[in-house]
Formats: sequence, C-alpha cells, structure tokens
Amino acid sequence: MSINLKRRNVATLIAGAPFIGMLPAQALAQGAKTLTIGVVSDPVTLDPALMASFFELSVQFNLHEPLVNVTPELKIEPGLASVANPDPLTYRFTLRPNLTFHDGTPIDAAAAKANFDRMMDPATGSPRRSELAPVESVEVNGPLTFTIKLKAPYAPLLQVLANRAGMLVSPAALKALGPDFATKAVGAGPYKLVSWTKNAELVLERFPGYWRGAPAIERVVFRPISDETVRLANLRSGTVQLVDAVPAQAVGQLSREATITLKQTSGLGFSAFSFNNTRAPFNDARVRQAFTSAIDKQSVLRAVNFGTGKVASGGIPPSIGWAHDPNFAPSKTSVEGSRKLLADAGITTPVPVTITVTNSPAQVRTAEVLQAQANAAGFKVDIKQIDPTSLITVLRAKDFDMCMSPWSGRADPDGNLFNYFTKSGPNNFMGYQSDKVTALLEKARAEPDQATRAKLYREAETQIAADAPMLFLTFPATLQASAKALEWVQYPDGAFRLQFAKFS
Amino acid sequence: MLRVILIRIASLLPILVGISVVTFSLIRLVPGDPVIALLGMEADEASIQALRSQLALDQPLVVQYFAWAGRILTGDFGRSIQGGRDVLSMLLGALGPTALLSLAALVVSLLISIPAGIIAATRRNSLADYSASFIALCGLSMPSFWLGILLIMGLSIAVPIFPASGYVSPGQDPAAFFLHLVLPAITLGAALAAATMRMTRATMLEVLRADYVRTARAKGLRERHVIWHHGLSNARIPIVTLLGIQLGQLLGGVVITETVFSWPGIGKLTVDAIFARDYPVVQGAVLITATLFVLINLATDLIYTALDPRVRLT
Amino acid sequence: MAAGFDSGTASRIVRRGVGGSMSAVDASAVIVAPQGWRRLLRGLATDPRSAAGLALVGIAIVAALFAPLIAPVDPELPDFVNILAPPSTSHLFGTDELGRDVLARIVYGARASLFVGVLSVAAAAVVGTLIGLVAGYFGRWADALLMRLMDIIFAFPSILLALAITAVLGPSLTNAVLAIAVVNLPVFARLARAQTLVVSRLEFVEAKRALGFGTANILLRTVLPNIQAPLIVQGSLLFASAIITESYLSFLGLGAQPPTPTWGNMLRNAIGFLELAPWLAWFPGAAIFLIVLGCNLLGDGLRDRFDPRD
Repeated sequence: MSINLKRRNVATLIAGAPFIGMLPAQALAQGAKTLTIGVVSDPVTLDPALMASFFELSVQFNLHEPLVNVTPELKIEPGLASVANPDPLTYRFTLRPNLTFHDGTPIDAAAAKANFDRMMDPATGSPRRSELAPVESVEVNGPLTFTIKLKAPYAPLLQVLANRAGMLVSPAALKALGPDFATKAVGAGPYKLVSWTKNAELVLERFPGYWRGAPAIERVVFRPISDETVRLANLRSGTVQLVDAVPAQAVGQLSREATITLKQTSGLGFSAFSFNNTRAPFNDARVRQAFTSAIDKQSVLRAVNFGTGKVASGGIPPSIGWAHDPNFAPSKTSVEGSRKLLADAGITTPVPVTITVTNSPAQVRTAEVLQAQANAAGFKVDIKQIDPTSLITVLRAKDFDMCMSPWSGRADPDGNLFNYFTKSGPNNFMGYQSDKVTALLEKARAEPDQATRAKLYREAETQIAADAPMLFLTFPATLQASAKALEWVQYPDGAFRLQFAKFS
Repeated sequence: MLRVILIRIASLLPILVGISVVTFSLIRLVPGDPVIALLGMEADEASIQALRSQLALDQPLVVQYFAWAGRILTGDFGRSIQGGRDVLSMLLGALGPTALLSLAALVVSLLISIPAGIIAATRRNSLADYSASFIALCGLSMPSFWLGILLIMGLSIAVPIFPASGYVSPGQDPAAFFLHLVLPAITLGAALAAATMRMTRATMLEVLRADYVRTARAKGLRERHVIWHHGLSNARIPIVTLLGIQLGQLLGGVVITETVFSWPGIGKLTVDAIFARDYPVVQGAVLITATLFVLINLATDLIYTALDPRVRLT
Repeated sequence: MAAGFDSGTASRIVRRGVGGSMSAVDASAVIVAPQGWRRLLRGLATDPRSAAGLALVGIAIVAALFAPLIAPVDPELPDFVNILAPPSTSHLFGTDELGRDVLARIVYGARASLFVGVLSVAAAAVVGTLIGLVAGYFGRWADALLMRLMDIIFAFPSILLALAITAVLGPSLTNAVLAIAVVNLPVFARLARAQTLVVSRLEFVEAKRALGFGTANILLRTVLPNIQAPLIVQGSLLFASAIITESYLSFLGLGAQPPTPTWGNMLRNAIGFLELAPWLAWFPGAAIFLIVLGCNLLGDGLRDRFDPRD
C-alpha cells in the first residue's frame, strides 16, 4: 500500500461523484409518486382528540378527514357528512354512505357518537372538551344520521368541526391499539399511516377508500427539519419538494428562483406577547399601555417579517373579512406618551422587564426589537430564551413579565379570542379579568347573525385595546414553498391538504 | 487476564449507577413539565393530574428512581412520555445511524489525518508541515454546525451532488444512504482529524528517531518503506488508542451534527428528549451512551495491551 | 471535542516509554524546571507557528480588554432602517439583521468569548488540578472516590452534560461558563493525578515529607510546579474548545442572551441570512476560526517548549 495509490482512489471517487449524485435526484423527480415534505417538527400525537400543538397541522388533514371542510376562502362545505341546521340549537349530520376508515370498519353514526363521547369525556383529557363545551348531547338517529344538540347557540361550531374536533377515528382501532393509537392512528383521511420513525420520517400512502377518491400522489413522507436554513436548503437541493414555514427573509430570493414556487397568503393567526397582568409591573394598565405605545409595529414588520404580513392591533386577522376592521387603529406610537404614562403610574424608571421567548430566530429578533424600543421609553428589558416545553409551564405558572404568545389561528374570531380573553379561558395566561369583554365574547359566540357578531367583536376589541392585556404585533403571512413541478393548494391556516396536490 | 477484565467490568457498575442517578436528578431539575407540554396549553388541571398519575410522575423521586432502575435490570426501559413508544426500541433504532455515522467520520478523519501527520513528521518545519497542520486544524477550528452549513451550501446547493440533510436506511437504499452520509461524515470527521494528526505527527517523530529506523535506513531500505513499515506500524499503537478514545467521545460529539443534518441518531434523540423533558428516553439514552463509552474505553485498553506486548493491563 | 485524550492510557504509555504527544513526559523529563516566562515567550516567538498563535491570541486579548476604545459604536444599538447593510465606510463590517454594527459586535464578542474561555478553563484547571493532586498524592480511598466522580462526569457526552447544566441553571453566559468548567474537570483531574503519581514518588518529595513539611506545602509548592507543564498545554487547547462549546450552546439557545454578542451567537443568527448577507457569518466564523487556530498553535508551541528532548 503506497500513498500514491490512495491518492488515485480518492481522485476517482471525487470525479465519479457527480454521476452518482445525479441518479437519486432524477429518481426523485421521476418517481413522482412520492412527495417528500420538510416540516418544522414531528407531531406529538396522531390522535386528533389529543392534538395540542402547531406541529400536527401539516399532517392532520392528510391522515384524518373532518365532518365538514373549510375552503381557502373560509367557507364551510360538506366533508364526511353534510349538515342541516334547523334551529340555533340543533345540527343534523348525514354521513356519506359506504365509507370506511383506513382499517375497513364502517363510518357510521355510532362511530361518530363514540368519537364525540370520547372527546367530551373528562377522563380522556382531551383539549377538544373546551371547544365542545356548549354541546349538550349527540344522538344517533339512524345508521348514517346523528344530531348534535347545544346548550346555547354556538356560532363557531361548524368551524370547530372543520378542524380536529370533527375528525373521526375508528373506534375499533381505538380499542385494539389502546395507548399505541397515538402513534398508529387510524382515521378516514386521504392517506393512511405506513410508518412513523420519530424525528426521522412519517410515511403515508394513499387510501383508495377516501370519499373524494384516491389522491393523485401515492406516497407522502414528512421529514422534520427544525433549522429553517437547512429546511430550505433541502428544497433547493431537491431532497424535498415542499416545505413549511419559509423564513421571511428568503421570500425575495425564492420568488426569483425558476425551479421553486413560493406561495404566500394571509394567515389566520397573530404574533403577540402576553403581559403578566397579575404582578408588577404589568398589573398596572398604564404601564402596559406605556409599553405598547413605545413600540413601532412597522419596525417589527420590517425587521422580523421582512415586509410580509400585516401590523396587528387586535386578534382578528384580515383573512376573516367579515369580522376584521381595517381601520382599527387604537393606539399611536409615542415615546413621550410612554414616559408620561409611566410617570402617571408613579413608577420609577427604568422599569425592569424580562421578555421570555423560545429560541426560534424570528421570536428572538422580535424580542430584540421590543427591547430596543422599550429601552428608549423608560424600560430596561432583558431577554430570556427557553425551550418550547418550558414555555407552556412558564405560561401556566404565570412566571413571566412578558411572554411570547403566538397563535396559529382559527377560521372563526371566537377561536382567536374566546380562550384568551374570557376570564376562565384556558389560554388566558395574562390573567386578564374583564367582565365586560367576557360577556361580549360569550354573547358573540351565541349570536347567529353575522353582522351583529361583527359589531360585538368590534366592541370587544376596542375594550381589549384600551386595557392592553396583550401586545399584538403582527398578523404573519403563511409562507410555504414547493418545487415548480408540484401543483398544490395553499390554505390560510397553513395546513397541507394533499388530496388536492399532484405533480404536473 | 480474564480476572483483570472481570474486575474492570465490575468496577464499571458503580460508575453506571452514579451516571443514572445524576441523569435522573439533572433532567428533573430542568424547569418545565412534560405532562403539561404533552397536553398543550389548553389542558385543564384534572387531565394533567390524571396523566401524571398514569405515568407515575406523582410518586416520590426515590420511589420513581428505584422503580425505573428495577425495570432496567429486567430490560424494560419504559415508555416514552411523548407518544408512548417503547424506549428500548427507540434507542436501539437510533444507535444504528449513530454508529454508521461515527464509523464514517472515523474513516474521514483517518483519511485526512494520517497522510497529514506523516507529511508533517517527515518534512518537519517545512511548508508542507505547516500546510498539513493547518488543514487538519481547520476542522477543529470551526463549530460543526458552521462547517455543516457550509458543506450544504457548497456541495448540496451550489453544486448539487449530495442531499442537504436526512437519512435513508442502508437496507432500504444503499446508494441513497451513502449520499446522505457524506456531508455529515465530513463535518464530524474533520473535527476529529486534528487530534489524530497531531498524534500521528508526534508519534512518527518519536519513532523515526528510534534506533530500529536508523538501522533500516542504514540497511539501504527506501524511505517510503521505512516510513510505512517500520515507522507507522509502531506508531499505530498510540493511534489505535486515540481512535478508541475518539470513538467514545464521538458518542457525545455527534449531537450537533445530527441536529443539523436531521440524522436520526442517539445524539439527536437525546437532545430532543431533553427539550421535551421525556424522562425515560433521556435516562435510557444517557445510560446506554455512557455504557458504550466505558466499554469502548475498556476495549481500547485491551486492544492496546494486545498490540504492545510490553504493556500489561492493570 | 477537546483534543486531549484519556490520561489513564497516557500514563500507561508513559510508564512504558513509548512516545506519546500529550503528556510527552516520562519520569526523567517531567522534572522541567519552571522556565522563566520571558524565556518562554522568547522561545515561542522564534518558532513561526507558535508566534502566529501568540499573535492571534494577543489580538483577541487586546480587543477584549480595550473594546470600548476600539469599537466604533455601541454594539447593541439597532437601526431598523439600515438592516443587513454590506460593509461600507460607515460600517466597516456591515450591519446585522437589526442594523447593529458588526465590527463593534465582533470586538465586544471577543470579550464574551474570552470570558468564557478563560474562566471556564481556569475554573476547571484549578478545581480539577486540586482533585488530581489529592487523588494522586493520597491514593487509596481518596483516589478511588474522587476518580470515580471524575469518571462519572467523563462518561457523560460532553455537550449533553453542558446542555443539561445550562438548562437547569437557566440560559446565560455565566451559567455556560459553569457548565463548560464542570465538563472539563475530569481532563485536568486525570492529567494532574497521573503526573502527581509519578512526581510524588520521587526522592526530593520524599525528602520534604521526611523533613516534616506540611502536605499543602508539598503539594502546592513542590509537586504542582513540576506537573504544571502539561496542564498549561491542556489548558490552551481546552480554551479553544470552550469557545466552540459556547457556540454550540448558543446554537441551542442556551448561551448568552441577546443582545449580548458572542461570536457563537452571532454565527448562529447569521446562518439564516447566508444568502442575503454572507458577511454576517464570515466575520464571526473567521473570528472563531482564528482564535481556535491561535490557541492550538500556541498549545503545540508550548508543548514543544516543555519537551526538552527536542
């Protein structure tokens, strides 16, 4: 063995590499039967009754099908069932005939009732319970028909049933799999689960028994890639053909690239920070208002979102057209105004504040913008990065001054406001106690007339802005990108519905 | 000899117990509750308590530890808090990719460091020596996430040879597996190369001065033969030793590389589990990693003893 | 990570006389009279490699000490109109994603990086050496207990241990220092112990013991100076690895909190902007590269100086 021989081998390997490299890339393009998707993170669970995080969004509508569906324009249309609404307290569902779950068991009214019973049973510990709180009973009327009766009118019900609460799973599989159901869910969606290697890949293959017919793409593979740069790199190198959560700074370049399609749409959620209303310094509304008026939200939009998305003053995004008020501008940015408010509140400056964020680059940047601007107005801001697991604990224990509170958004304003701003709302980490707003939101939830609802929400938002329990910053746009060859539909909620996707 | 080995293995047990106690305590000291994280922001107190009892997380810590330790002895590593998978199969499934990556990294490291070390030793204090040292030090002087990203930008996007990240199992598709392996292996291997190069250089310097080499030269043997047959073969002992140690250290060092390249190995598994406060997974993963580490160290000592008849295992 | 290796094995290599690099000392060579610092520096300056190392480290130290004088502006001052500006006359290294001056941040970053490097290594060296001295000198129970503790720490994957410690204590630069110090304890402890085992058996140490000198005196005044050479070498190499470990902790969100600049967190933030503003990554990347390179060259040079057989 001599050194020269070794060098020759290495040289051959390097020279040959491009040829080896071409094979899989071509295979990826021609094997257009498989779509590989780069997502931010693995889901936690595949059981819709227990889903509680962002991370299931990309997978859920492919594995499961809800009773009703929402269009990109946020209109309701039939899904597994069609629905009649004879009076505000009654919703009658008729399931499509001859449908089965992935395991072949029939989708019938009994299965639907079993699903609802499970979600509403306190022992299950399902987050759907609060979404289904106004439900009085679910009655089976016939083999394919059932009725949901409400305790009080609940305008968001259909929007809720177009999401996780309406996704039916196979009761037989629930019984057979027990706790394993979380990782082996059996639903009624366009794709069924083949395998799930945690943190590596989640593989789905098409389900011929889907009510719209078998989808065009045979296999879908979800790859969790947490780093946004690497995720995008995977799209560019052809390793994946669709990515979620494109970083805002890449939008400019991606729109110029010939092999990539960038899709951008108004989202449903908001980017905001909760003030801790239960302790100093933010238990005083004037201090909260002082902080709010120190912030120039346009800078946030520029520095964090790179011009995508819109400035937010409340929780209802522009995509919910009937409820959003484009002229709603409750406050003006004014550093002197802030200082005056702090002086009025009799608080010594600089006011020490800690902003708690997770280590997502966009959140950290946002916090730094807030820090710079608030420091100029009499605050002294420190930033603390924590991981997502700690975030939830910190929020619930109210162990923060200001904490990031992004919300992925729901198609109905109730979904964006009720849980946050009612006195006993499960997302009310701010400790905001307003009887007026609680009453308005409960009334709006039960009001069948949309115009009246819009008025009620406007009132609620005005009061919320005056009390400033939360600092709204932006309505981020939904930014996703794909290979040019992929045709697919983007939804405002950012979820992938791949039954509508195909390779051209 | 066998007695010595058994005694050595027996002395590992207190270390492993110590490690498991430290891990158990440390992960529970990290603020953050896995049950709340699992059930999400909207969960109510009752469901949280219910799940906590179900997972036996409301028991006193000492009870929890001994329950866990007892089950470990029977081979039951418990179930993951996130998703309820069997921990042992998760760990075993993750060891494969890490092992493959580590071996590939060692190969890369040797490919860089041995020639570099030999060049540096034989042409001491020349430009070749400096260049070789410099190249070997490059890998050590960059955080691996930086090197990894540069490689992705260069060899995956600018010149599309390799996929940007991810893993394909060798059983499923050997060609794709190899392509996915290259960039992370270079990233990891480059960092190791410096230590091995330094070791090779120093050892070669020692050895080349030795009497038997002088004799070989005096006999008129070609310089290349002298270096390879008389020099390197005697240098291989410390090099093998160093490799053994590096293999052990790799188990920890893969963490960042696996995270960047989404390589589903045990490093990434452990980091993700720490962030998710998935106690059984963290405890199991650290235990297995530490056990492998001490066993590799022991094996290295044994190999070293086998290679060098002058040394006896103590 | 660290370029050091297990000194247990090293001491075995040592005793049998097979050359090794790290503790390239056998019984006769370990008694290196502590060289005068001036002579040492002069020696280092003559070899081009260690001179380069000395220069690089020196520049970093100067930047760290005199940051407020050298940096053109406040490193934490944002300018939302001027984000991601390329290098120009007003901003020699350009501006970052919040409009802050990159040159200023690099200069102040030297402070944070050196803070981490010096403190973590110093802490690990002091505590670790003490442990090694005690274990090597007293032997038996003390040795067994202390080295078991060190073995436990050593068997943990280092990044995970640093990660866990920082997660428990809370993310901050100080806690990162502590975590890195803990992780590096065993290296110093083992090295010190191996050396102590050899030195404490030597005649002049026996003599001092016979003369009735106190243990502390013997350990600190007689043993320590004779074992310090490899410890210093190891320290210089671990300094470099501490800076890299800090960047890993920053990568995971656990190091210094914004807006404090460290080269590690600057690099981490810059990766998302590699195409829009590549200079954001090149400068901190180069800074880390140069200081680590410098430390390694310096360490190699120190080792060559301490080994009289050259």
